[in-house]
Amino acid sequence: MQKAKHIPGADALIECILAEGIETVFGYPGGSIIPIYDRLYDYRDRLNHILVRHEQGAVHAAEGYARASGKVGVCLATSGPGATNFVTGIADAMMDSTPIVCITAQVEADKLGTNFFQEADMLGITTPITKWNYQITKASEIAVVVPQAFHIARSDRPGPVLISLTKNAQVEMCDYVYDREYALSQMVQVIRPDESEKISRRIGDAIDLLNKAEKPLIIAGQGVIISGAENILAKCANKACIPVACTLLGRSAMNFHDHYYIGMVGMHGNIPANKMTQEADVILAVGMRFSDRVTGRVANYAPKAKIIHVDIDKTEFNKNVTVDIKIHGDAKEVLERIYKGLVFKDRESWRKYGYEQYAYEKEKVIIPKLASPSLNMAQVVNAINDHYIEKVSERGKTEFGENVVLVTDVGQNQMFAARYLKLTRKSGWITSGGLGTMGFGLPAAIGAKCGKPESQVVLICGDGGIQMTMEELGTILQAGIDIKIVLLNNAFLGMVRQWQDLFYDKRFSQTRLVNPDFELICKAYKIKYRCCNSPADIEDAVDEMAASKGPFMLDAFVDAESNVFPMIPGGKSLDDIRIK
Amino acid sequence: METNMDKYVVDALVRNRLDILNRITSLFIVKNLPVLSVLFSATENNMAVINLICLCPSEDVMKRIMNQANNFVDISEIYYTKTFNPNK
Repeated sequence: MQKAKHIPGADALIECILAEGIETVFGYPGGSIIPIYDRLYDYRDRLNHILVRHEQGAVHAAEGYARASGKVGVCLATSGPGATNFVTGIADAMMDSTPIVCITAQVEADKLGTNFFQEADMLGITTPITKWNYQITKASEIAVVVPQAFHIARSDRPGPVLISLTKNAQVEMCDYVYDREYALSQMVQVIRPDESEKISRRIGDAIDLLNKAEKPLIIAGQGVIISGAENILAKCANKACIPVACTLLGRSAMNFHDHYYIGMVGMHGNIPANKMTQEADVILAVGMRFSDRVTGRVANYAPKAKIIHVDIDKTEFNKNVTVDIKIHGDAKEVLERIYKGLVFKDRESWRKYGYEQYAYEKEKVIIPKLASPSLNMAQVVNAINDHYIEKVSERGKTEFGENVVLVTDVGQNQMFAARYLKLTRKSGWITSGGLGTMGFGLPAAIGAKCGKPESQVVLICGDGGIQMTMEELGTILQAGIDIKIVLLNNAFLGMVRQWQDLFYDKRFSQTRLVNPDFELICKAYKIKYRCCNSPADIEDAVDEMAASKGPFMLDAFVDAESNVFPMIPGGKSLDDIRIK
Repeated sequence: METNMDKYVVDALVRNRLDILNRITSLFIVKNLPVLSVLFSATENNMAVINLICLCPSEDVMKRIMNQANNFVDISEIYYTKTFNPNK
C-alpha cells in the first residue's frame, strides 16, 4: 500500500497525469486555473507544457498528440471563455474517436450558478459531445476521477472526456494516493449479457459468407488503425484474395502499393473502390461507421452485397446502413478469428475488374491532373511523395513513409492529400473526418510532432484553413517545433467554391479570399519560406523543404479553378460518379 | 407535439450524479423526440432509478437510443417498453 501524500489538489492532478504516462500537455492559463499553473512550475522537468495561442489550438494539438503517439492527449484551459473555446475540438474528437482528456477550471464550488466572472456550465455545454464528463468540487475526488477519465477516454471506442475542476478543489489539501484499481472499481458496474457464443456463431457465418463469395470486398476504417489490426487485415486480404478499400480516416490501414489495395471509398474516393462497393456480393466493413460521405444515397448503397459489420461500438450497427451480420468486438481480435477460417479462392476476374476501373480513373482523372500546365494540388502532393517522403525515408534508412506523419486540414487540400498521398501502414495519417473542422491542421501538426518527435511532420493545408488557427505559428516559434507546412494557396475557399461551381451556377458567393503576404508572416514568426507557382518549380521547392532544418512553409500558388474529381454529388448514389 | 408516434416507457438504473438526467434526456433531444415525463428516484447505494416516458417514431430508433445509452459510462442498465398512445 502506497503512503498517502498530503498535497494540494493541483499537485494531485499533475501527479495523476504523470502516472498515466503523459509527458506533454497543451494549454493556456487564466484566472481560475492559476493554482494548477503555479504548481506546474515545479514540475517543469517532468511535464512538458506547450503554451498555445488559443484554447482551440490546445484541444486540436491534444488530438494530434493522441493520434500520433497512441496515448491520451491532455489539454488545459481556464473557466468560461477558455473552456468554451474547447468545444469545437471536443466535438471533433467525439466524431473521430480520439482519446483526449480536457481539463477546464471552474469558479469556486460555492459560487457555482451565480453568474460569477468567467463562469460557464461546461457540463451542460459538453454533455452531448463528450464520452464522459465530471465536475470535481473537492480535492479528495481528484485521485479517483482522473484515472477514471483516462480509462474512459482510451477504452472501447475512444473519445473525449472533460473534467471541470473548481478553483477550491485546486487549492484544498488532500491525501493523495494513485490507486488505479481502486479508482476503476468505483465506476458503475455494467450488467451485460455474455455474448461470446453469439459472436462466435456470427464470426462463423461471416467466414462462410466470405469463403463462398465471388466478389468480396473489405472496407477498412479508423477502427483498424486504433486496434492495431493493419497487419492482420493485409494477411486476410492476401490469404483469401479479397480487395481492400479504406475510408478517409482509415487511409493508412493498408499499404498503397499492396496488390489488394483499391483506394479510398466515398464522395471523393477512387473509382474502383466505389464501383466495387456497388458490384460486391459480400462486404466486410471493419471499424467504420457508414458515414453519409461514404455511402452516398443509402437506398442505393451496395445493392448486391450482404454486409458484415465489425465494430467495437454497438451503436453503429444498422445506424445508417442495414447490415446482415453484426459482429461486436475489437477489429484486431475479430479479424484474427476470421483469418483462421478464410480459405484461398481465385478471384482473378474480380480483381481484374478493379484494375480496369483504376486504369479508367488514371486515364480520365489522374494523368490529366498531373500533366496540367498550371500548378494544381495533385502535383504538389505528388511531389511530396517523391521528393519529401522518399528522401526522408532514404535519409533515415527506413521503409517508405515510416518516419513521416502527414496531417491535413479540411477541404480540397484534404481530399487531394487523401487521394494522392502514398501512405503505408507505418505512416502517420491525421485528418479531421466526421466534423470536418477547418483550422484543425496546424495545431494538430504541432501536437503530432510533440507526440512523435522522432518523425517528420508535414502539414498539408489550404489558405482558408490555416488562417483559422494561424495564431499557432506563435506556438511553433516559442516551443521550437519543427513542422513542414505545405500551403495549397488558391485564394479561395476551394471546396465551397467547387460546390458553387458545380451546383450553384458559378455564383461564387463569399468564397474569394484576399490573403495576407504569407512570406512576411513567416518572417515575423522566423519560419523559413519558399513560394512556388509552376509545375516546373515544385520539385525543387519540395527538395528545399526536405533539406531544410526547422519549421518551413512552402507556399504553393495553385490553380484556383481546379476541382477534386471523381466526385459523388451530395445525396446521389455511388453509381453517379462525376469525373468532370 | 407529434402525436402520430408510439409511446415508450424507459427504465434505467444509473449512477446518481448531478447531470445524469441531462445526459439521458439529451439522447432524445438530439433526435428531436419529445420526453413527456421523467421520474427520478435515488437509491441508498449511490445509484438512481429513472423512469421516462417518450414518443418515438419506431422501435428501430428506440433500439438505437438504447444502444447509445448502453455506451454511457454511468448507466448500469436500461430498457424500454412500448405502450399504447391514445392520441395516435
